[in-house]
Amino acid sequence: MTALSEFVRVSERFARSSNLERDTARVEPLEGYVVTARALDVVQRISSAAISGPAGGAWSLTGPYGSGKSSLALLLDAAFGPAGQTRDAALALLNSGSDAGLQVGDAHSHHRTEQRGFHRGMVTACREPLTLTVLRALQTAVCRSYGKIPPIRSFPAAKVLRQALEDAEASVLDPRRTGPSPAGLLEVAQCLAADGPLLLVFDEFGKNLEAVADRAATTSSDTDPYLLQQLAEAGQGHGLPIFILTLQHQSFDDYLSAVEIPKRREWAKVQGRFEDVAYVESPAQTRALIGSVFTVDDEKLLSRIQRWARPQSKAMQSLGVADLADPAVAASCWPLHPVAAVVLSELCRRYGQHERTLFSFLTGQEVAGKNGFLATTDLPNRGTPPVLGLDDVYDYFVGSGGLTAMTAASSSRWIEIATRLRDAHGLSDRQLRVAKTVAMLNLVSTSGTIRASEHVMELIEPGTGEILDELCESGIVTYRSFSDEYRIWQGTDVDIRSLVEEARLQVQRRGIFEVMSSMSDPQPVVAARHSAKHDCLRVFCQRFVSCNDKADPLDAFSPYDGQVLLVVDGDQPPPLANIPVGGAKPTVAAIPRVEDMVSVEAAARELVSLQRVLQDSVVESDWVARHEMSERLAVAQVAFEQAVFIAFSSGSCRWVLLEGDAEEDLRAGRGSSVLSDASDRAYPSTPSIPNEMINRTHLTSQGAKARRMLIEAMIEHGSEPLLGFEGNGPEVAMYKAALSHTRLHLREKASGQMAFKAPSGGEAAKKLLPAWTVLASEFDRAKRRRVNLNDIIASLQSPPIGMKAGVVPVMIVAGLLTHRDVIAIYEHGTFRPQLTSDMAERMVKNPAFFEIKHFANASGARKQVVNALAERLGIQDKEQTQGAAPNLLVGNVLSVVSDLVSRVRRLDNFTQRTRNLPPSVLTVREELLRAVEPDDLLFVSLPEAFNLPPVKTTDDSYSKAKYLATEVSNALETLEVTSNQLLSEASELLIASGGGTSRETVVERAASLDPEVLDSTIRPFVLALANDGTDDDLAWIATIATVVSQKSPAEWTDEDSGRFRRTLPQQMAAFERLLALYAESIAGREGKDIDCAREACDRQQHDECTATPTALSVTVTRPDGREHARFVNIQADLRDDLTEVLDEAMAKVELMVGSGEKAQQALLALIGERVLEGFKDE
Amino acid sequence: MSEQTQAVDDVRHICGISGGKDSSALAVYLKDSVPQMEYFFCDTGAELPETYEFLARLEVILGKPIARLNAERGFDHWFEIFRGALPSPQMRWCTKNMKIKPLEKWIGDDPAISYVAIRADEANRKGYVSTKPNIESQFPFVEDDIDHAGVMRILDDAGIGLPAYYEWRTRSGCYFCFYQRKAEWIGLADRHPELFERAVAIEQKVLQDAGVSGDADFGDQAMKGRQYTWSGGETLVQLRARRDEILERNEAALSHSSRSLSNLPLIDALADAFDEEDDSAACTVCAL
Repeated sequence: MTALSEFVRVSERFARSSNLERDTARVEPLEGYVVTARALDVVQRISSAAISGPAGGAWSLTGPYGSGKSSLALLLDAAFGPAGQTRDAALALLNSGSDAGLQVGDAHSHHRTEQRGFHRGMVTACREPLTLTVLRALQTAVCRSYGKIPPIRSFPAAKVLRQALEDAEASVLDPRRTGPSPAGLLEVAQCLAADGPLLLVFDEFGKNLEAVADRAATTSSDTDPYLLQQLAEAGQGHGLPIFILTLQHQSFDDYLSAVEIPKRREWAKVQGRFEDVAYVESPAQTRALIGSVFTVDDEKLLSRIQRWARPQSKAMQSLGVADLADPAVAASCWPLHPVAAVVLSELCRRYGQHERTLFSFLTGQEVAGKNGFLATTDLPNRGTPPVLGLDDVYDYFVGSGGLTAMTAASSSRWIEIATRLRDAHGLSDRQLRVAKTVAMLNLVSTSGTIRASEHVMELIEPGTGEILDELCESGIVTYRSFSDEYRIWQGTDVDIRSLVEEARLQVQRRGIFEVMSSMSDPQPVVAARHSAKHDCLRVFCQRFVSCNDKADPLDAFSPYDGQVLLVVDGDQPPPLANIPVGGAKPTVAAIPRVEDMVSVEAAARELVSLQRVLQDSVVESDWVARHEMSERLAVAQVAFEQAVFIAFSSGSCRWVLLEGDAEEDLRAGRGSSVLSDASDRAYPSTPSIPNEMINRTHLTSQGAKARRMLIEAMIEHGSEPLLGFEGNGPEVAMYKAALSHTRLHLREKASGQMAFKAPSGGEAAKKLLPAWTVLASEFDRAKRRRVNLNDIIASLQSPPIGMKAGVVPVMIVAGLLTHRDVIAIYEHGTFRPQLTSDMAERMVKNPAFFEIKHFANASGARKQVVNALAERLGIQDKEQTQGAAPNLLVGNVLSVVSDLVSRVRRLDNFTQRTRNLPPSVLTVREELLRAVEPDDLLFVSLPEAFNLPPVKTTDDSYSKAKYLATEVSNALETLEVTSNQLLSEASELLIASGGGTSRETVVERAASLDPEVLDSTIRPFVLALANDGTDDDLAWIATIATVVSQKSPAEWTDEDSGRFRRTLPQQMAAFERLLALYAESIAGREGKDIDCAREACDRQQHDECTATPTALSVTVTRPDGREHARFVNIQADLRDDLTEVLDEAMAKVELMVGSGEKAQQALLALIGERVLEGFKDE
Repeated sequence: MSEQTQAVDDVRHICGISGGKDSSALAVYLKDSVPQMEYFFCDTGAELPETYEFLARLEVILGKPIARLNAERGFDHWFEIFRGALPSPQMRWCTKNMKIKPLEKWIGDDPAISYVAIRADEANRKGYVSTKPNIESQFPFVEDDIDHAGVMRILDDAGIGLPAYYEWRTRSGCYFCFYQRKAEWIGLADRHPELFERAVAIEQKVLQDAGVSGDADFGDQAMKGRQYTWSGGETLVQLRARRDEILERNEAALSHSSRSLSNLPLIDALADAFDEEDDSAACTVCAL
């Protein structure tokens, strides 16, 4: 037996890759080159252009990696080059099977270049400006034709060329130089073309385009497109014979996707000058190429192969693969199995670099190499010749990682299959072979006839059904009935395709706006120029709208400063609904061009269709399908966003500013300039607050904390420099930006202290003034009725001010502090006498709960009353003593009412509740406690309390002003002494109950009782009486009152007070009885009276007395819980005798009960019972 | 101890009053030995009326005011600031904002000795012991071996007795404290129907009678659509509807525990009947 390699020749067709500079003018690269149909097409295009007239032409070849573009360039270079071996080789290749070689010959004769050939500039582009690439191409062409740069007399453009080369060198060294001038390059090209036809080939032209995209970010002008355009135009029509060929992987536009629209349009114009040629081979063409790789010369083997090919081609016919239905083609593919040939071409197209990968496999180590299939497989003497099957293809491509470049969309299936097979252990060789075959089919299967169906498997290797069953059983392979296919990858039974089709149909029926209304809106955009100029970020939200629906303008509380309406279904802006109160934020409509919208619509419909499929319950429950749909959805999402980006880019659509019924077209500039224009118009009075932390819509938590500290300091330390802050915290930065920089917080000349003032002087103050004026006018509006704080915020946030929500509270607090003498604040409708920091916190959070009202300085009769009250209440004095710091100011309704209300709210609960007051005082108290309207209170309710007429605004004077002031003041004073009055009365009552002595005697007498022997019911009372810890009579009686009533007098009601009056005398009586008993016991024991006991004894003796008391307090508790306490004592002279009696009794009882302790208890119980009988009547 | 505290220095002496018996007893106990004592009470503005009344009583007995910390920013304030988002064991902003922060602000950076009312018979209890380095904690009851009986004695002697809420509740704190037991909620409904109604409203994110203009409703704001309940698993309205059932079960639990623990005052019986852990464990700072 002999190895197959002995019988098969393999054409060295493609080197792995070609390089223009390296391989030009050599014969070797052309050896084994097989001219593909596409290559022929290109050659024919160029030669027919060359034959048909004096001019040239321009073509742009777009083809994937490895499709043989560079090799084609080499072929062109040879064919259009000078006469010689290389050109002959090229023409021979072209003439085999076509007349393209002859056409090239005609082209040469037409231009009289039979000998010297065309001028040829072949370059591979780099990531560089096009001028440099063109220069290199021209330089190559000149040098190849002339050997060197010729003198100026034979080549007029020589000087220009030299200059261009110098410029190019300079620009490489110093990027600021512009490099060779396009005009000069054009001149060189024209000069060359005037001498003879010029062929310029730019391989890897995409690199130039990438460079354009790079530069787009940094420079605005670009000469590249003009140069290329002019070169192309120079060779067209009646121009010079300039032939330009650019070779790239994708279209111009794809390279430039990141470039701004205007620039892309310029390039689109350039591409229009080029004829597009798609350089992709069809699968059939690829298979024809496969056929050309292997040559079999042995006749016997050939006939064996043909015999083998016949049934194969029939089978391929049944599968609908037309080209392989020809037995000759099928035979030419041998040793590849026809199915392998089909799969291989698809595999390389989908996962590899096209022909390059394909031929690397066929002509490389794996098949033709020393250890390849041909060398290691023997040809049997008879029967079917050995065939390279799909399992071999698998080993190369998947098993050994022969493919690395994979696209994301297809790699997941690839990885899944490879992993599954790699991890499948314990398979027989045959099983493994079948599994690999299935794997390969799975990889390329697009539900066509070539798939891992039983039929196809049987064709590839008869008798696999059983093995497939085994594989199914072991779980390696699954049979998917819906597609009649065995699968290695998990796959899904869900028929995604028809689901998608169905969804598309449904979506197609709906209007585009309806489709797009389900999309999330595009990201908001910043009006950059305006924002930078005013230190204030202006953000526009964007949303899709229909031109037929009324669009709502943004309200003042929207976090955005304006909106962009992206019109999706027409060429008119939508009508605007009613403008909200406070003025509308700007609304700009963007109307795209019809052609741009077409792609948006298509992308949107696709996206929504896929979304619908993903939400389908069948897909939701199948993770494979879900996974696949998610991937597709992500791709569709990107496509949609890209389409939207292009359609609604600044330069490509019409921008209309909508103001009520008026519409005005805005001039589209770069980037967001349209929105900056709109912002400039809407917000001419933007204040300058140069602090990002506060001058924004939503504060960070740190920012919110700093602002809270700032507002608190404004209220509590307004008179201090820097509001009393130290250091450089964020609150200080906020202070400087919002209050100091704007000159809102300044030193007052009169007082020399810091205070809040209307802004004046300085640029920032000037810019704040419009906002301050709006605030002031809102305060003014509050003269007529209460104004909700939200209305004020709305007017500050709306045009023309557009103040950011973060700053607004600071401005409002500054305004309230500046106007604190005239602005009343209501929270939940309740009048608040002064602005406190806790209130400000709530105000920031829920401004809608707050209202303000302006109380201008009163005049006429009212002024008279206010002044009288202020004088009587001493408000003037307060002002003078406290300087500018206090929260209350002089001489108007608010300061007087605030003072009154604060005073009455400080009263204790008893005073606030008691009814035991004169009726007028009660009325004053009630009115002050529920004060709602300061002027009603002052001018109606308070006079009424004293039966006086109301103080009318229309009156000039009020005769009872002083009387009223005195009465009100008296009433307040009465209230303020009420609680002390209560205690004084309690004190008098106590002293009186105690026999009319003084506090000191009560304290002394109580102290004489030993608390240790007192009963717990009386002990606290006695201790309270004995309390000498305070010098204050009222504090003393308060303690006693608290102990007696179990309630602080401050919390008493009138009932508590009455109860105290009844209880106290009883308690005092008990105290007196106790004193008497105690005095008696001591007197009895010592034979002295109580005074003697305390005063005549020295301290030591007294201590002894109390240490061994003769009087005992005995408490007996009844079974029902009632207790009886008694002091008992023994006369000292009887003590010894009585002890003797007790001892005798104890001894007797001890005999009866057993122990001394029991005896004591028994006797005690007995005596207790007797005592209780004595207590019966109590 | 008296030696330490009698020396007049820059150190502040502070004693927190919770409104409960132990801290009140401690305040009374130290009244004479630490004359420079500063008493404080972290006011949530939502304490039981009994607590306020008791504090007033205590102030009289102590002869000096108890500093009310946080008086301006009580529960109603924070309820508005958080726009109806209620505190819960998971989000206990109440303790943080109304107890700890005001206290730490009040103490500032002054060196201070804090007297903590942990009794000798509950040495394992964790009170609020500040982590701030300038605060030193002392435990006079533990040092002087004063137990439950000692505390009762101190209160009796002072004539102040117990806060009235001990008749139906085991601890001080907000009337709507989410740590209170279901039977205590019933107690609130019985004793203070108006506060119970207020708690019901708060549960529905409404602040009753916020001002002259009436209620402040936050139903549309924070955590919209989420129904928070003060007491686990049911709204207060549902809880009140089960009044008899709850009381019955409460009785059962009480009698079960009183069989083993006879002659205990009600509060102790209650405490033992319901939770083995100390009643301060739920809210250490509230019972400060």
